[in-house]
Amino acid sequence: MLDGLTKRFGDLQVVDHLSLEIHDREFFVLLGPSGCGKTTVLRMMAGLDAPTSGTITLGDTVVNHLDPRRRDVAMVFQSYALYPHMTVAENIEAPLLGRGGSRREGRAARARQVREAAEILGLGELLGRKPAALSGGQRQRVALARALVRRPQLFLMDEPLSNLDAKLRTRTRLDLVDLWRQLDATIVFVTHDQVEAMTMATRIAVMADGILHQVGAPTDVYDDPDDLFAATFLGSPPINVLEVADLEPSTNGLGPLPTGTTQLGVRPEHLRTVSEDAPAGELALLRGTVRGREALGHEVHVVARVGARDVVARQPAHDATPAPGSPIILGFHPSDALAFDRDGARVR
Amino acid sequence: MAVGDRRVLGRTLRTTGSYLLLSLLSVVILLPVWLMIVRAVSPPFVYIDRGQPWFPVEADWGVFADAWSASDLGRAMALSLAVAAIITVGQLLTSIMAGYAFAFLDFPLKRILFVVILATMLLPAEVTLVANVRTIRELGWLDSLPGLTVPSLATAFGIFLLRQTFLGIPPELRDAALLDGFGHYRFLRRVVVPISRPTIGSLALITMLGAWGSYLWPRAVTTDPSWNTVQLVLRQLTTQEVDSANLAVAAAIISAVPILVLLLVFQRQIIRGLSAGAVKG
Repeated sequence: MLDGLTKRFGDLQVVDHLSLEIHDREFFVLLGPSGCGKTTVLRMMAGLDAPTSGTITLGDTVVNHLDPRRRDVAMVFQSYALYPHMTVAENIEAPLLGRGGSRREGRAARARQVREAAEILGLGELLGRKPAALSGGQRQRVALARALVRRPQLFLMDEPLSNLDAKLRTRTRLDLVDLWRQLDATIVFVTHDQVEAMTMATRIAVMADGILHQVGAPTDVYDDPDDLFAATFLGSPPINVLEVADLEPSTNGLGPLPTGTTQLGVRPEHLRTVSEDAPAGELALLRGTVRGREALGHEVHVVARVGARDVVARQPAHDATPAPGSPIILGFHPSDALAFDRDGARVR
Repeated sequence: MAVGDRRVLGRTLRTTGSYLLLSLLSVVILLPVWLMIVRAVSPPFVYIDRGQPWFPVEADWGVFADAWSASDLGRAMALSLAVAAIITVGQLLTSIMAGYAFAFLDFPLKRILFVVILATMLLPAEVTLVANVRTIRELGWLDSLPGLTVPSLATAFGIFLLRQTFLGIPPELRDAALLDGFGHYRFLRRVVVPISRPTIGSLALITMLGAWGSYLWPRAVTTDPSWNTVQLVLRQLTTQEVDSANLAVAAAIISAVPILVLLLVFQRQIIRGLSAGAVKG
């Protein structure tokens, strides 16, 4: 649990009064753009950086002044931080040595723990190798094995997938979730990749500029964002933001908007092309010209110029789209639109 | 001529060229050594009128045994070996510890202290010689192992070299070690030193060579001939009579043997250390 956590480097406020409660056995993702302070939060939880103010509680203990080694947390670093001169087995064993466990239980017990951890991650064959002789994916698994060999209360993971290629990353996402279930552990996972957050998390916290924007289940944050930042950060392609003032009142068919609304957010999947003569029904309409289309195989992103901005609509792969330059009408259900005020806060 | 043939020819020419160049360089480097051997085994009066010969004249290979027995070279070499070993071990210890402190610890006046240490590199040994010798004398350390070794147990160069090397260690490794529960000592012994082994090896070698070859300092703090180091004995031999001048050359060759052995044994490490900065991994 974090309470009023603040970190300042000189004049720079990196984390600003962050309060969070992370539950037992949760896969909790801290999501935000680079430089938003999420890694700093993780480092403070690990004990690598001291908070300027606020408290960190693990279980029932305030750990602010505890050494990293006394916190019973393990961390997986973005760069993996494997010891280059040690073999895989020695790397995995390192946390057991540092803990200064009783010498008597010693070697045999440690070897058994290393073997178990290596087995969980399928590293059995590689125990004698040095990190330089491993692929990126293998190194990443060694880093995970080193973290779990001690069976800590809490795993902290700092963008552990960002150095993997796209294909491997997708597979590793599933593996990580499997691992999390198997270990029955609590994971705090930092990433700037909303896909990772959406696919793995039980809950996510969206952060920007050291400030917490929203905490919730991934689909809740996606469907019901508290502010424009959370709305735009989740989703690919991102949500379309429309200025209410730009919309023609006669044609948009929006009906009454909550008071204070200045901007509307419409997800690309909620927009569809409407033909001129078809009855609009209860759809709100946007008129514009086609700028281009991006065919991804399984779907097409139609980019249309509406007023002064681009609007993206997501359509099934085989729908016909007008050629670039031709006029287009995009319709959406008013109930699918999210209303925001001038400061980007949600209006309901 | 086919393209393939031309390519093979080009490669052959290139290879031949590099071997020629390497051979030439070897000659340049080995020639003085050869001339030294020639000079050692040829009695001086044989060539003294004709100038240095290219090949041994009336070779007398017994000269090495003579040189060994004529001086107390054996004792001097043992002393030098002890001095060099103490200085090397001491300098490694102080450089590793100070380098670690400057790289990984935070303490008051850290920057200023580091600059002060660096500044001592600007002073040539000659400048501080008199003051240092006086200190040694006041301590009663003339003609003693401490007198020969203590002032060289820590150098700014060693501290600087290792601090720079340690700073190159990724900070995540320090973080990982902290989480793994490594204290400073364990982190130093299990991570920092093993990772920096090539540089530490180079430093050891440079220090050892420097200590073995040093002349000025041992000369300044010894008065009793029984405390003469190798270089002092060599110097004495060269100032003896002309007709036994080859003894000094022979002694010089003998004194180079331990260094040669050291270089051969640690050849691979040395090359790795010297190229550590250039070629990663």
